[in-house]
Amino acid sequence: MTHDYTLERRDAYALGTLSLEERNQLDDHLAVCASCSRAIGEAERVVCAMIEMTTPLVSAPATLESRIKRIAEPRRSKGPSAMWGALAAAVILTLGLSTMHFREETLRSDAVLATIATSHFKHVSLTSHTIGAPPAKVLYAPDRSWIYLIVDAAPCECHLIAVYGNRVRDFGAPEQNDLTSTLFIKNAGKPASVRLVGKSGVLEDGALK
Amino acid sequence: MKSTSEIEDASIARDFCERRPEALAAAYRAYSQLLYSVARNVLGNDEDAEDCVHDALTRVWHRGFSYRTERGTLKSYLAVCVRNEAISRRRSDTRHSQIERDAFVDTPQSYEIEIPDHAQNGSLRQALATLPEEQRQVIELSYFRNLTQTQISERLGVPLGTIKSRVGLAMQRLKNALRAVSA
Repeated sequence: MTHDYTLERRDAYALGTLSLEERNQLDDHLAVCASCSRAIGEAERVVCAMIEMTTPLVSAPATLESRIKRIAEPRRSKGPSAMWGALAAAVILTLGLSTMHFREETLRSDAVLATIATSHFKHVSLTSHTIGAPPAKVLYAPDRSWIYLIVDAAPCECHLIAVYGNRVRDFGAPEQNDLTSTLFIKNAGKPASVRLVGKSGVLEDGALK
Repeated sequence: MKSTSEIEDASIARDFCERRPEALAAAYRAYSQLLYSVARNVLGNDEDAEDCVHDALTRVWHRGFSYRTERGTLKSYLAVCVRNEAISRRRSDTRHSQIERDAFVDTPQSYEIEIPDHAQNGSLRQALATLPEEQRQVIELSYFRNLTQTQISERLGVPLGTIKSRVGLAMQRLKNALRAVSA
């Protein structure tokens, strides 16, 4: 990453016409370059002024502030409620990047972790079909290229099954991490839905939209 | 002499740079209306807007150190981050893909930038209004319609390099207008 590369893209960055990957590349450079930060800042100032000039202001919902506060909270003592309280990136970043269980490409690459941590992603709570099935949630890339299963039980005697149309794939059992069980699939292959299957059959499932 | 608001903004920004745990919530409280409104404006509904602001601030906070005081105001930085997140979501959301395609095909050939009555920034308003037509086109299509530069190039039938150049020239005029205000 060079100054020229960053400066060429500063306006596109501020206007929102870069891809997430390009923005991340620039952010890495901006973290260490004061002169490029100043240049980007000027472009951001213009866009912010345009935002203020053209955006009708509405009040944010009260619930959002409590969600925002949790982002920067220090890591809590471990427990089932911590998993649900710190959704999405907070979960990935504070509970499990160093301990999550990798399947498929088992290489623990910092670049991969950084990509996940800085991606935006979706999540779904799995719908239980069996009494006593542990609560479970799946975080996944918007293009469903990776998925991260968190089960509120440890150990969890179940397998994660991904469904692709009329084809399924067994990714195996999640691994125990203290009071939760997790499983990260780096190359998930864009499943349409996932199921947690135990000895008695399908415990719960959820569509990845 | 700095206003109370500017002093407060500087204090929040300093705490944010130092990654004090309370700084994120303080920044959110200071700019919540702007951040939520920009997300709401791009995404068009409350639920997505709330998730967007949350995810954008999560990314900003955990990525760390991408904001530094040399960059300018924290407000501008966060507003652009949230808007970029909203645009990314909109692009990746299949619900919007048809809307994007329709806009791409049916965009009228006039490029009047609509500035609502509540707009306050007179010098920026004037600078936008007096941009040459070809520069106003690219600002309209990139900022107001959220098209990528490649899409703009295809839409206008103009080489990508020319589009980049026009965006650069337009942005420079707008930067100069804002500099003149603060000088």
